[in-house]
Amino acid sequence: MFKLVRKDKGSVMRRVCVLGVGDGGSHAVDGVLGGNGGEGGEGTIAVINTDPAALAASRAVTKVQIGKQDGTIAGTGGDPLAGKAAAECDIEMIRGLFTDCDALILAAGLGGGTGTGAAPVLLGAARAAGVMTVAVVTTPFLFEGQARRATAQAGLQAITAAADFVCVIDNDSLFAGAGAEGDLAAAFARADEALAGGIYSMWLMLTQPMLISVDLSAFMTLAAKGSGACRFGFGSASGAGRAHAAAKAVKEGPVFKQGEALRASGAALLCICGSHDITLQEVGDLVGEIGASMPEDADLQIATVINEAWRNRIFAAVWLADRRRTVTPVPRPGTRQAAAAATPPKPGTKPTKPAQKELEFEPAGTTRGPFKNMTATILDGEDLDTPTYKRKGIELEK
Amino acid sequence: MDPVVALEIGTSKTVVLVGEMREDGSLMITGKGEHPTTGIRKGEIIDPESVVNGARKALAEAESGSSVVINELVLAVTGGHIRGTVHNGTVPVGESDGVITGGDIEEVQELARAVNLPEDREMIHTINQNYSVDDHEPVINPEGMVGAKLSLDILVFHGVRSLLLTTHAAVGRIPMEIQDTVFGGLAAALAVLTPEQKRSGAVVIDLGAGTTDYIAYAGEVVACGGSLGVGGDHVTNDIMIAFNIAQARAEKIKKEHGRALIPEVVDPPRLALPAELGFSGNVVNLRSLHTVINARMEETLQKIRRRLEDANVLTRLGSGIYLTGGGAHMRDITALAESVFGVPCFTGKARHVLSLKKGVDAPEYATCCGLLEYAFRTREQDGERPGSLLSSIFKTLLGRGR
Repeated sequence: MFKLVRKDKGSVMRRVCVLGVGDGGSHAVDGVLGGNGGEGGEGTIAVINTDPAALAASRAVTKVQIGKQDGTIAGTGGDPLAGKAAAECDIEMIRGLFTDCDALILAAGLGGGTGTGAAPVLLGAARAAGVMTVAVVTTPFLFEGQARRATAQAGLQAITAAADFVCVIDNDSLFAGAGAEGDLAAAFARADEALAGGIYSMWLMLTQPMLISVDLSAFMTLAAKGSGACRFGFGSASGAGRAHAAAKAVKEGPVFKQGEALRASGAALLCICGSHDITLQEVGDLVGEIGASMPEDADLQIATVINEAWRNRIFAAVWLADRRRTVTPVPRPGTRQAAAAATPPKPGTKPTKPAQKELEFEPAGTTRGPFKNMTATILDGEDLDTPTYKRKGIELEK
Repeated sequence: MDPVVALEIGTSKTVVLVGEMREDGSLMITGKGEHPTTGIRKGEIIDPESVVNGARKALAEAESGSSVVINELVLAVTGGHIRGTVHNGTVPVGESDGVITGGDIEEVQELARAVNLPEDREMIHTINQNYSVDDHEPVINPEGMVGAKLSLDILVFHGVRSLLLTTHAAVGRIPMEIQDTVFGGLAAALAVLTPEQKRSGAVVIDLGAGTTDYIAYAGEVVACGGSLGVGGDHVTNDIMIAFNIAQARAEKIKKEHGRALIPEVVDPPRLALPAELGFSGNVVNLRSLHTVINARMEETLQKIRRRLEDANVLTRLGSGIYLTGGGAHMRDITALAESVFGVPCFTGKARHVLSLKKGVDAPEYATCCGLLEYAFRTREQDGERPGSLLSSIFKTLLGRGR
């Protein structure tokens, strides 16, 4: 059911550039540098932003401010076109980052201006320089509003077209089932942590000597088996029974919808990170448990990274190829799409357009009305531009 | 006294009032101009050109009605980005005997006002709250008291600089000089509340089309205030979505049939919207209409309630809550507010206003009346100084009366 990919131990270590774009990307890169000690990986770590204040706060060594010539001096105000223009304007400056690397891991939080707008431009430039490109991105929380989701959706399409491999982390899914209790700061911190985890494990896989190794082509294969973008989830545990606990965190975590996503997927890549104290038994248990929660004919590839930074701990990172599109806008109750989705087509009538295509246009305008181009009014974690009765699920008499 | 001009560029309409202060302290409105605003959403300018045109028309109407040439005005600002935060300054008392002097008070004021706001924000007002001596109970005037240290709490209103500057730039393009900028919620409170009400504790909530502003007085000081980027337009938008009708029609049925509370018996139960060109007709269930409005307005008031609770003022409101702005016309809104806040609620109207123009005492003009009030008060305080900005302004203003 699963096969091991061997890699020639003697090969030259890859030089990888980890690049955080925009605020979300910068936070994630900070997370890589901070939370995991930043040890182990080889290569450049850089952040790119239009907002000098956010750049100043980042821990990355290489900081590039874009859009200065373009007049974007303090962020894009959430406009991806401004982010795109800023990146295009300063592309020559950015190319320098790619001259000395083999692979680029780009991190961005989608939905804003800089990450969403600049990332496709940067990926394009890297590809043109012959660099393998990987994008690890998050999609916005539902409460950030439909406008941001629509922006993210458009951005994701551009990124999927520009990158060799795209991994999507759906912020909202991090909290599915967690209830409405968590506070906002914790929500964003958790999203940054997930993004950082995704980048860090991928970075290690590409740069570290592995006992069982994979390379970028394994990611490409994985992407080809799904819809082009992957979901990322992870579990981490320490102490006795850690392998079991980490597997459980992956399987039952909200990212994979309590395992539903695993059951529905046809291919996955599992990376087990640990220190030298990791046992064969533990690796076997982890692989077995994850494998058992996937369909029998599923293709599960595994890799292990050994790094002393992980002493006593096991970190299991899973990339999952979705059988369907990763980010599908859910039709809101009461909209035409929801009605269309609910009523089966009458026999004999031919569907005129593919339903998927229509979904992409709508969500922004349907509930935000005149506020669709405005900054959303977000208070206490709710988008107040959406009608109260809808948010509270109040039924209206017909 | 010389007349003063107030301009409020609201999300739904632009209002200009020209006022004179009479000797008995009442405000005489001598000119009024009004024009529907286009180009503003949620209190923020999205189309400067049409905002400027609307303001020009309102100003022209006020000029012709009052026979005053206007080139200077007091401006109201609002928007969900405006926030009131409390800042504190503490200084050691200078004299060796520990008696607090005017010098100490000036020093602590200066320190407290040197607020370090985030880079993108600009201060609009600073309002002194309480002094305290050696961390004892707060006092209004500490001069002559004895202690080792003197602290002052100030309430600072601030907003996003670029948005405030956009408004200023629009007024500059009319072209008009701005003699003062006042937070709209504060202006409404100035117009509505009497000194007694401020002493015993009161809140003014201005229910605008784009924003909902609030100011709370408790313990004789402005305890808190701010603005939410939610208003009457949200109610209209909710109705548009709930019944799938156009904005103008939603606005109309909101005004003509809407209620903030859901009555037990809705009679008649339905409202038929006749078909017109481009509209196939519709039937609106009035209970659903009230439900949509009730959900939105109750939520907005609850958000304010939370902020009042956080500032610990809800239990100190001896004079209740006053609702101003266009939203104060909504049926049952005071009853809804009473159920949310648990204190008596009233429609707030500008007091002491005499007018040659009809209807200026309606709640939606409270902010503009308050701007005039503010202008006259600041003039009383520092207008007498020779060469001050205000006196020079009004010389030109009066000299050119038609």
